[in-house]
Amino acid sequence: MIINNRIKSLLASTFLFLCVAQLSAHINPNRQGNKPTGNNVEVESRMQDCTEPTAQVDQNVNNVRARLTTGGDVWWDPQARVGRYVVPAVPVGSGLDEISSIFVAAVWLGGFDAAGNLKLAATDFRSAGNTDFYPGPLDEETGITGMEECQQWDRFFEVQGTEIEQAIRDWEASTVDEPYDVEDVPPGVRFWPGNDNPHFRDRFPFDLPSTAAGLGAYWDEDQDGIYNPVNGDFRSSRSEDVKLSIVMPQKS
Amino acid sequence: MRNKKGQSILGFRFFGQYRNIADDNPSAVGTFRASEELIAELEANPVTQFNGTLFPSAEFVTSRDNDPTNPARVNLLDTNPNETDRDINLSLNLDARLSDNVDVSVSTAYFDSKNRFSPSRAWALYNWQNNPFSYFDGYRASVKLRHKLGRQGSGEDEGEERQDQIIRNASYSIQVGYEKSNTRTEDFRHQDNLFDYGYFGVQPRTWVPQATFLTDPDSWGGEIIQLPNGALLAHQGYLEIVPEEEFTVDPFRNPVLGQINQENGFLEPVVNGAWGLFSNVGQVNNSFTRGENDIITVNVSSGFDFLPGGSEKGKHSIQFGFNYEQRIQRSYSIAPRALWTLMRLQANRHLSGVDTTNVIGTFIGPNDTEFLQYAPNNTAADVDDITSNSFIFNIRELTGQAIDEYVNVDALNPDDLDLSLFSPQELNNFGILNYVGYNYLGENVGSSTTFDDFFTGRDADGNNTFLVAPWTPIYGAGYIQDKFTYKDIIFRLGLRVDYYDANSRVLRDPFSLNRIEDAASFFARNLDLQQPNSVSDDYSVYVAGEGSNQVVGYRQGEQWFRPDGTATDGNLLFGGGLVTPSYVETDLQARNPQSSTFNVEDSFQDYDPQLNFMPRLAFSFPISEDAGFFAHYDVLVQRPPSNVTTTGLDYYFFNSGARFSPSNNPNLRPERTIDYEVGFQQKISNSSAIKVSAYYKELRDMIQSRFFQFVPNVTQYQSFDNIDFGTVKGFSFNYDLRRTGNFQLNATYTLQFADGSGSGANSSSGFNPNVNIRTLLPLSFDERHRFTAVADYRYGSGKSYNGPRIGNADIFANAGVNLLVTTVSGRPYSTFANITEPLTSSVRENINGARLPWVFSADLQFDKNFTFKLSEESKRYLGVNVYLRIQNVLDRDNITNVFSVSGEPDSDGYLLSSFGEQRLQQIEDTNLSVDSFLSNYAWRILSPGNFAAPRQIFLGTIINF
Repeated sequence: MIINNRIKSLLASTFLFLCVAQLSAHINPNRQGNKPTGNNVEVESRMQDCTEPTAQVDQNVNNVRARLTTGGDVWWDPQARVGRYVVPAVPVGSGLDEISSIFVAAVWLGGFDAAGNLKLAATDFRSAGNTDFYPGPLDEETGITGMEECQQWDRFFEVQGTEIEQAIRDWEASTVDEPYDVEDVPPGVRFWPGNDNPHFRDRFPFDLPSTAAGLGAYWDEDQDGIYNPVNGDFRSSRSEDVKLSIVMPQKS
Repeated sequence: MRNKKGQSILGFRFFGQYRNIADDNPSAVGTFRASEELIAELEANPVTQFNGTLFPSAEFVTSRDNDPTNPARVNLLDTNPNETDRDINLSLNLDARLSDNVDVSVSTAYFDSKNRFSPSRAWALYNWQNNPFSYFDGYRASVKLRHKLGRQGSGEDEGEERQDQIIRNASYSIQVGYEKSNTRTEDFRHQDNLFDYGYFGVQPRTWVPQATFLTDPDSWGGEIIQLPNGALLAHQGYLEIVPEEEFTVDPFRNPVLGQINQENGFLEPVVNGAWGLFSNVGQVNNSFTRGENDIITVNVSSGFDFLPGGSEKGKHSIQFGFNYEQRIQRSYSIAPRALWTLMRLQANRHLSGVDTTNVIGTFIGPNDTEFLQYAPNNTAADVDDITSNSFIFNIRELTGQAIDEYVNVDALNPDDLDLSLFSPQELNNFGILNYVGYNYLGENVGSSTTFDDFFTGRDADGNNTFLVAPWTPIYGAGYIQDKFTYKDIIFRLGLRVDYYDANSRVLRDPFSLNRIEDAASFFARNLDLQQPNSVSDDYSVYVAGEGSNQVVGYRQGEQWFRPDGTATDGNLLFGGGLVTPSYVETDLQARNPQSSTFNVEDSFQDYDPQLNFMPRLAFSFPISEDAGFFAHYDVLVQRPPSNVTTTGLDYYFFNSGARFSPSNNPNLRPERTIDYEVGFQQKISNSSAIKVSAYYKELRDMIQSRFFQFVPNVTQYQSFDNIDFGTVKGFSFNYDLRRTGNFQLNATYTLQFADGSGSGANSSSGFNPNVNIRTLLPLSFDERHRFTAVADYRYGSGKSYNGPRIGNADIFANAGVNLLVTTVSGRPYSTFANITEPLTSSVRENINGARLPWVFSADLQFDKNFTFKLSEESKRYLGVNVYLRIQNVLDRDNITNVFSVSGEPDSDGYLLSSFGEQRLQQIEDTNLSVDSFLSNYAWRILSPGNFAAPRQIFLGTIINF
């Protein structure tokens, strides 16, 4: 039996960005626009198995429009290298200046592994495309991943609060004679990456791994350990618009 | 060799030149260099302990003016040491006359250049002894056949029977040429030993088994030992021990860097510089490059005189032909120092935790307890992209270790290492490499490799081979010209057609790596939505999110539209928000250029070859016997001169903004110039004339850096486009005095206005991404006034000699003096408001809103010809020309550039700025040497590039025989 306690100690297998600790910073001008072709490039790339995460999404909550990414960094546009924690969230297209009150924040996870080696996964400004976090879940047995998984999971899964409420209403209205038809389930609920969701493959070109660590959190109505919205399972927060990405720290 | 008639039928011409210049770019104001003694002193102790912290010793170096006898100092030199440029040029031409009408010429040339150079001014002061080399060598050969057809000459002196021929002087020539050149740049010590660049020494490293507390005994599959205090322990991993005190500096490769950087491949920034102004001693130029260029040319030209009715009066001289040129360009560059960092990262990446099924012994753990020792857990088999050609396998083959043993790369000998230890993906992902026309090892991939092969090429294991096709642009041209006289007007009419094919793949849409669905397709797919009347079928559709059918806007070319089809600005449509098109390719992975299933065809298309028609018209006619008028209209098209080479390797990192942007653009079109000129010539005397002309040039499609904005995934990227334009207009007055007696003079005054939207491909780099300059501003080469005069005074020989004699000796026979005087009004430059660091300005005040001072220069040359008869019998002579050329004879410090804040050529104004004052105060507060900072600053601020070349004296001789 192969056990990897080190990964266990480091891994936040699913990570909801609403919970990140804030780390405000300003870009190091010496590393801005760093192109790794010439002399004097001191980049320690940790990018090994995976390619740089690219997905971004804006989360609109109250009067804030905040950018989320799949690379462990948030509240900025890592490609344009500008802050994207816009408050007040002036309407897009209004022509009003979008003021970002935060430049960037990122997850830094550090600790000692079981043998006492210090390990750190810390994303800074993605200099030369580097980040220490990549999309997707780690294999629970081996604690590793591959490029294909990273690319498949470089996306957000979005569900609207209204979709959840409708799913609950429709499921409650269904009866034994007329069970909840999966075609009627709102897409955000139907394709939610809950554990073993049997409908997931209908939209996404890859299978959900079956993992005890769980993926997208959900209310398991029938307590069978499987997310299936036609059985009354739904994303556990009823009234929030949720944007979820599943990220992992670089294994090194 | 001559034939029976005494005509030469085979001749040769040989030319050879050897040139060795100690400094190929001398400074008008001298150049500061540390003496060998000072460098030796610093290399012996490159760092100094001060207040418990290590500082570069160079930060304690001062001018030492109070100790003038100390040889360990910084000197102001006239020339740059160790910057020798050595050139060898040889050429041999063979001309053979096969018959009266057929000539064949064979030309060959060989060139070889070896240039030692300083990578930067920051490098030069303390590292001029480490200057790298660049090499350029190659050869060219061509064969030219010239065939004259039918009757030649005007026919006046030939028989009457041929007078009525309407085609005369017909000829054609065919030339086929081939050129091959090679370039190479390398560190002068390490050359192509790439692993030497970052090697500092041996660092022992061990991995020690550790028995540690077990937090989850239920899931633990190995031995568990309970200590008397009840704690559960097990062997769960290996602790890496790095005894830094045991680091052994390699005394041969980089002994100085090894003293201050104890990690192979890494330079500690704090100790490898001096005040941020210079590099510390002992540096290695972290760059190895090489390249190859092949050029194949075919030129065919032909011409004849067309005489309608056999009359000379209506003669048309017609010339036509075509050119073809195929280039094959290859280049390879690597920053090899960090190879050691990559090795450390890769060597043990697959070892994680322990394998409890593989007991390899026992060890004594806490409480003197014996624990079972497990082998490191090898995950290589589970990682899908670790293949048999990756570093973890190759390095163990080298060291003879098992796959589950830790490897210490810092104990390896660099002589045993080479790039093939890495897989193509490992080396490319690390970002120290770029290449065109090679594989990742720098091996030539052949011309059959295509752009698509980069994405689709696989090795036997199914892994991407990362082969980059060579850059192979094709140029072609066809032309025809007719010169004829109608009444008194001499016409020259022509048409040239240029063909340019980048011969590569380009993005289908520069605003998206992946193809965007057009409105026709989108609305055909979404029948419940109504396509607005004003939205054309070819509009690109943008939606609210991935997979959404909620339209947020459209785009056609560079014009954006609202969902209702009304035109708008991209900023108003997206602001800084996300840009999500409706993609044609719906598979996320097939849109990822780094995926094995990347849809290449969806993203790229063939370059659309450019065909440009260039009409040319010139005519002139006499107004009187002593005056004439002339005018011409030309369209000139130039192939994109720069910023075109873009490869699959570049696009592989498209979604990684920091690596892709800025990038070249292979889809650039040729640049276009339209040239008009009218003029008037007037004879003043039998030996002098004036010429007045006015010209107007229109520059279009000039290449300029720009941002492509609202690009999915990357938001924006910087590239190049044909967006610049400009005009150059001027007036020229020329006075020409033909040789009168001994004197000859040619003087020209030019008034010019050169305005445009950009002065060069990178002139707007650093500007606001939202703004492309669309107004006419003075171009950097805008010279309002230019006055040039060439005066020549020369004596003849023999009877025509009228100079002084000593005895019977015509001492100045065939001797002369030539003076070239040039004065030019100042070119424009841009000014900035702040200087935050030495040589670093910010906050632009204007674009070319200020003017440099006038430039005045004078060049003088004396020369004399000698002729020696080789022998009494021979008709051959030996000609010797001896010359003394003095450039910038007055040794003026002509200012060609100034610092953009101070407006001065010799001071950037930093010390007077608030930033400079704060810096000095900070240095003083920390008790560091203000004197050293000021000295180093003074040495760095001296900018030879701000001045034109100093007085240079050339004494030479040319021998002809």
